[in-house]
Formats: sequence, structure tokens, C-alpha cells
Amino acid sequence: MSEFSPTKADSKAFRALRLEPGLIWLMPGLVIIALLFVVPIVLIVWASVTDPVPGLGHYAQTFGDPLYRKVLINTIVSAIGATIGCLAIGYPTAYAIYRASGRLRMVMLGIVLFSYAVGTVPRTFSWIVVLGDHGIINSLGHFLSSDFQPVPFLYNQFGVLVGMIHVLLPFMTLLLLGSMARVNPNLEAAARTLGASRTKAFLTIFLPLTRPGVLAGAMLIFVYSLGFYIVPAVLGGAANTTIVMEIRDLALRLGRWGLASALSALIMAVSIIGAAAYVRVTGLSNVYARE
Amino acid sequence: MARGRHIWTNGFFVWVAIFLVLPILISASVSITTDEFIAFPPKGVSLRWYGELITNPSWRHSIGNTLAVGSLCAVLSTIIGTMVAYGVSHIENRLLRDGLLILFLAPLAMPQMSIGMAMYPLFAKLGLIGTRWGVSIAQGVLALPFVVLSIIATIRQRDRALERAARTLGASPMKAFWFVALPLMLPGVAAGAILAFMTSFDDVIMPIFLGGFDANTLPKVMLEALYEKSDPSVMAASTGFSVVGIVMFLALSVLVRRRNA
Repeated sequence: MSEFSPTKADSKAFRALRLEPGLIWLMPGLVIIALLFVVPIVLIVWASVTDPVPGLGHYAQTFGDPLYRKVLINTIVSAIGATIGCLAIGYPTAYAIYRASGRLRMVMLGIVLFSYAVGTVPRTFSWIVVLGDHGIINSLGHFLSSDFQPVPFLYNQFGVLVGMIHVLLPFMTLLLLGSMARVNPNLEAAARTLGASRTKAFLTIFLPLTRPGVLAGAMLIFVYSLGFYIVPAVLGGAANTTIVMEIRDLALRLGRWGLASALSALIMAVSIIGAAAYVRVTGLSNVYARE
Repeated sequence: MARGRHIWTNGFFVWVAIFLVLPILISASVSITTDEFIAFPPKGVSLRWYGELITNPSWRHSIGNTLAVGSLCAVLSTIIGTMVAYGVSHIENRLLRDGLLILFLAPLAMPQMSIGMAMYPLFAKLGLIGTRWGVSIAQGVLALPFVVLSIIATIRQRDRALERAARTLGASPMKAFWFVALPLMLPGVAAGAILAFMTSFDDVIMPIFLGGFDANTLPKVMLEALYEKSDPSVMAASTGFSVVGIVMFLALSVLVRRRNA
């Protein structure tokens, strides 16, 4: 019965463990997340204001130096462009799947999931064959007219945007489809019965009801685009350096750990804000199993 | 009734489908060329560039690394992730439960480059830079949220009731976990393991930051090959890569369907 007698071991921590037996199972995970994730990230933020000399010099340089300002602008422009593109293409795509039924719906979902299953790397590389100087589109132009000058689709902002939208579109479509599935279909039908036109029912009923999902999805895509490496590295040119490419160069090639840390801290701060907004809009309840 | 708009949205979908799928098929077709260059249409049909993947030591080495690192990452993150998901689902206090869940999902929201950079000094001290273990552990942290999410989605209230029944009948907590809870979670655990492998498979940042020269994985070598030689072997690697991704995804969808049945 020692379990119930107050002993030295019966500290607050032990009482918490008895109240929440789940905590014991979390110990290995907590140690790993603390050691490999939380502490290293805190150290990065610390390094950004102390390495090599204490102060906010790195942040001043990030915003003041035209070179880094250009990198920041590039990153944000690509991320906003990819988000808008994914939204503009993803919404009608998700709506088409939402409206379809039976075998057609299965085929549509299959196409989206197929391109999702093919990893990021092959999908990015595939655009070299399509848009490159010797790619299919420029070859076609050359075939049609012998004095055709190859159009430089790649190694610029256009190539980066096409690649990012291609990689993120399936993800965005699935996110939007999820938020559409939560809309009660009777509402739109009721509006139609009461005399609203199809377009009006869509614009005044369906679209506003999916707005939280749209905002949350856009937030998530924006955060993901900020951290993209492979697409700008493969399809972008020297002028399209993004913040994560710059972080890699500064930390690994140039040994400027403090400045790389400051850039990392900035992009992490923006990501945390975006992720927090996403959690706030969608909540965590859809994570757990439905009963 | 709503046929008019179906034509519009379905017509739009056809264009999206072409945009999504055609580039993948075109780049796959280039990999069977007999030519020295990446160009469409492919000249002739051969498996020459697939042979190159097996005979060239750099490709072969990276394929072996990718499989080893992916498997190790899957094992590590699945073991830890199973314990985390089980633990989180057993926490009664809602605030504590959601807070812990957010902590374990946090790597999902952070730019991977920042995570890799943050790990670098610690891994350098531990001598893990340039090792398969180092890359696997780092990717395991990236994969942990997917494993936790996948398993938590399979734990239902009635599973907890079954477990309590086992405990009432005299099973130890360990036995209740091993014989009651774990078998019920198993589809989620298997799906989590596949997701973890796919996360590792698709990741190029940890190999770049922590892999050095010895722990080169396939995507990293593909990236380097593109800058150096850019012969069709890159596209052969890319196509093989896609096929593995699709097979993994099919396995995953079978598991998810079984879970929901």
C-alpha cells in the first residue's frame, strides 16, 4: 500500500505521472524532440544574435543589404505566386471532384493521387524535359519553323512558379476537397429551390462556407513554399536564389553561421505564424479518430 | 439538372490532369532513349540508361544508401511515433494533450533546411555527419509527425474500452499494450512506417546538410548529376524513383482502406 502513503518519491512529477499514465510512453519521444529539435532551434536563434559578435547585426544586414533583401523578396514572391496559382487552379479542380460521383470521381481522385505519389524530385525534373531549351515545347517550335528561337522558360521566375504549382497542386486540391466535403449539400439545393440561380447559389452559399478551408489551405501552401529547396534549385536561375538556398550556401560553403542562423530564425518565425493560423482555423479535432 | 456546370468544371479538370500527369510521362519516355542527351522525342528504345544506374558505382552506391537510410528512418520514427501516439491518446487533460500533439507535429511546420542546419553542430560533435545513421535520425525527426498522425487517426474510443477491460481482467499495462492496443493500432503503424520511408525517400535536404560524401542518397546524386553531366541516366533514375513512390502509395492506400473498413 506504499502507493498511497506520502513518500519522498511522491513529488509533483510522480503525481502527474500517476494522473496521466500516458506521459511515461511519451518520454522517449520527448527526449528526442527536445534534443534533436527544440534545443538545436533555440541554439540557432541564440547564434543569430551572438555569432561571431553579440548584437542584431545579422538582422540589420538581412534587411539592409540589397543582396539579402533581393533573396527575401524572391522567396516571398515565389511563395505568394505559388499560393495564388494553387488556389486559382486547385479550387475549380477540387470542385469538379466534389461534384463528380461514382467511377468518374474515382478516376479524378486517382489522377490527383498519382501525381502526388510521384515524389517531389521526379516531378521537378520532368519540367526540364518539357520546358528546357531542348525540351518538347521548344523542339516543337523548332520543328514548325527552322528560324525559331528557343523560348527561355526555365532558370527564371516562370520556371520556379510552374514547378512549385505542379508539386503543390495535388496537396492543395486534397486540402480544398476536404473543406468542401464538410459543407452541407442541402444548403445549396435549398437556395436553388428558393429561386437563386446556380451561379448565385454557388457564390453566396458554397463559396463563403468553404472560406475557412481556403484560408487554412492557402496558409499551409504559403508556409511550404517558403521552405522549398529542390524546385528553385533545379528550375530557377542564379537570380532566383531563395532564402533556404542562401542558408545552405552561407552555412556550408561560406561558413557564416551567424548570418545563416538569422535567415533561419526569420523563416522559422514566419512558418510558426502560418502554422499557428492554420491550427487556429481548422483546429486539432480532425486529427483524432472519429467515433 | 446541374449538367451545364459539370461540363465547365470537368473540362477544366481535363486540363489540370494533363498538366499534372503529362510531364511525368514525357520525362519517363525520355529515359529509354539510346541517345546521349536528354531530348524529346527519344531516339530508339533501350534500357541502356537503366543499366547505367546499376553499373555506375556512384548511382549504385546512392541507391543502396537511399534504401538503407529510408528503412532505418522508418524503423526509428515508427518505434518512437507509436509510443508517442499511444501516450498522447491516453492523456485525459485536453489542453495537455493538444499541447503535446502540437509539439510532436511541430517539425512538419518548420522549414527542413532550418531543422537540418540546427542539427548540424550536434551531429558534428557526435561524429554523425556523413553517416547513414546521421541522415536517418534527422529524417526520422521529419517523419515523426506523419507517423504520429497516422497512428492517432486509428485509435478509437472503443479501443480504450477494450484495453480497460483487459486491465480489469488482470493484464499488466505492458500486456494490455502489447496484446490489445498494439494489434488494434497496427494498420496505422504500418501506414506510418510507409509514410516515414516516403518522407526519407523524397528528402534531399538532410543528405545535403548532414550527408557529406559518404551518405549520398539518390535525390542528392540526381541533383548533382543534373549540374555535372545531365545525360538520360538522370531521367532513368527519376523514373525508377517515381515507380517506387507509386508502389509505396498503393500499399498505403490498401492499408488505409482496410483501416476504414
